[in-house]
Amino acid sequence: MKKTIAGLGALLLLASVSTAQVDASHADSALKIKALKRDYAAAKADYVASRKALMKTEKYQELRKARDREGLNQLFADLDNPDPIFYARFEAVAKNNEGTPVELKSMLWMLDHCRDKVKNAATMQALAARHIEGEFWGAKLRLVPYYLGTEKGNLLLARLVEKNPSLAIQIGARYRIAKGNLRDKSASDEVHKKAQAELDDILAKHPDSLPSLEMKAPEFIKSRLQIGMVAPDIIGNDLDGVAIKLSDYRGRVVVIDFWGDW
Amino acid sequence: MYPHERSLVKRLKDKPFSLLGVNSDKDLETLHKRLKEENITWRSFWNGPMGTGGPISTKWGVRGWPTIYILDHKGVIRFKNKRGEAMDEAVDQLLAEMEGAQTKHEDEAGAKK
Repeated sequence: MKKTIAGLGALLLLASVSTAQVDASHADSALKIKALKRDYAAAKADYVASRKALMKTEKYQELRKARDREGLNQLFADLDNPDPIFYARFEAVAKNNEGTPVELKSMLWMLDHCRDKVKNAATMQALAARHIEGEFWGAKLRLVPYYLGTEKGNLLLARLVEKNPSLAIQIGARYRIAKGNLRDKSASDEVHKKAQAELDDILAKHPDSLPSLEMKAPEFIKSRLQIGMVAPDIIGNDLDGVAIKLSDYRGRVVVIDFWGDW
Repeated sequence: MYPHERSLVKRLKDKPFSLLGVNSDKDLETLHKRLKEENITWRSFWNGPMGTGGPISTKWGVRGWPTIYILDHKGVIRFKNKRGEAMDEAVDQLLAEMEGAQTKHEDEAGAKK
């Protein structure tokens, strides 16, 4: 009896050691991702700087004037674009950490740094298989049918409607399915009718959701954003998280600049 | 883009003028680094973690970046998508209008006395 207990204890000890090891290796992987991202940022900055330098050379100007595409490609060919190199590294980290948050982070990086539709479709399916509940889907909904095509895309979107806990993502996925079906000329009248009804339902029940804002935008531009109209207020947060309203700036000439650092 | 905006903000720093951004970057951490690097001092709304698909640009139907609206001191939309020199001219015109309106007001007040 004593022996069994001791054996059990040893087993438990073993088990706890191995979880600790797994935790430690995940922590390592998380650090690895941070380091990879930092190295990538540095490599990319170098790459962009060398490109800019090349674009200032006489050779570049000459080739551009002559519209010599091949020459231009050759001129830039010597530069190492870090994207494919780092893509392989992130891919390896993802493979070694299946089902973990580290895999998720790696795959999201891959999706954002690759233009190959086939690769991105595979990444998206892997994300759907193991991370269907993720919040990140909100920003990816538009890309689902783009990478997967309408049919497979709609299947994935339907799974999001069913499995993702975020109401905003459920509404967004329903919207993308309906839009895809409406645009699909080979679909039957009935499918089109159902899709339109779905859009109407979203507008009626969730008027402030992103899909509803998108549907209402053309009318909003026509009725609220024409020259001579008082601009509608914008209420939100600034980049430091401090509350800010456009109407706070009444009494001043204002340039509103929709911008991004890209 | 940034150099022009920097010079506009600097030139009009003592005038009743504000450049207000609506920023559509997803990653705030990276963006804060870039704000420092590029010396971007003007304030911006944040369009949220959805980036270009965020609520402000979606509501306003923005599909191209940058998109510009220029408002006078009464909050009226007066110009759209003026960039570079044209933006400077538009802003100067609206500032002059504003000053003109104020002087007129003062003149009238003076005449009544």
